Amino acid sequence: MNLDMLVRAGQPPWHPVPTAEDIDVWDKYEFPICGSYRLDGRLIIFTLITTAGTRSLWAYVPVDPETEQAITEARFDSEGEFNDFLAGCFTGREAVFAAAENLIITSKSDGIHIPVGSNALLAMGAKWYAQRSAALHAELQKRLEAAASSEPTDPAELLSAAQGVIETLPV
Amino acid sequence: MPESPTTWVRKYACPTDLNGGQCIADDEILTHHTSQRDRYNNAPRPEVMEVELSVMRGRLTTVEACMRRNGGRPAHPSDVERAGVRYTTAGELRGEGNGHVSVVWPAANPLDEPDPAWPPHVQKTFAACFTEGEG
Repeated sequence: MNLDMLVRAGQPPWHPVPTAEDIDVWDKYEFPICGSYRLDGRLIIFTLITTAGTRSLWAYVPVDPETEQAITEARFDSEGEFNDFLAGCFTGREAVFAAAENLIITSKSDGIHIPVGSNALLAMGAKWYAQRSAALHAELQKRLEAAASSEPTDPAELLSAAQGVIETLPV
Repeated sequence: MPESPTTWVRKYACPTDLNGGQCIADDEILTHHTSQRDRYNNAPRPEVMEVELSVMRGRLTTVEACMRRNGGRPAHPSDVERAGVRYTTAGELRGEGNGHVSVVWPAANPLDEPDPAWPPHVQKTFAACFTEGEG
């Protein structure tokens, strides 16, 4: 499956592409925390990894058709059992991460392999977020430096570059 | 006649409730969390197509409620600092009309026909059920 199709910027994390169907919310509080949806007939699992302020980090993974039934019919006796099951859905698979601001997706990753290990999803997601942020930072800085040092200076471009830095980077 | 789609509230309703019983006793304490102290939702939010309000079973501290809202992971300290909780009982809420509880209105057919447009007096009455909390 083309992982690039799973998520799109501008969408809510639990309805990550306009063509998502059969959205099934497994857990929620004020907003869906985890669940599944179908895309072109294929089952996709999504989960919140964590929130921090107005930002949140999410993960998505397609389910192999042969394991679909086991997933849709799974029942759990405890929250711990469910959490282990959810983590297991991502282990050893290629997942897509998405960052959201005010519960709207702003950025997404390519497919990232999730290794075995407790908290691997959190670790890989946070690592992607930090790398994405660093790349964005470098891009903004480059644009700002180019605008500031160009001769003659283009005030509109300089202002736009400055606003980009202020809007994006916290101090 | 086509069947109405199953609501989330019905799908995840406690089997006891579905069989006419009461899964949550009247004296059970419920916790309502807000991410912004002193600013609680007193009705479903139409912008996210909510038809019910979420509250949590039991008397949870702000830290515990934030963790529950963060999918079971501890929340960031600044999120906990900004958050608040308030408490009521199921009986208080019922009087007017899994670890998660959905508050729906009206009482007539709550599992299948919850109305997200709570009138002002319902919102006021809902808020008045919470007589204590933290923030």
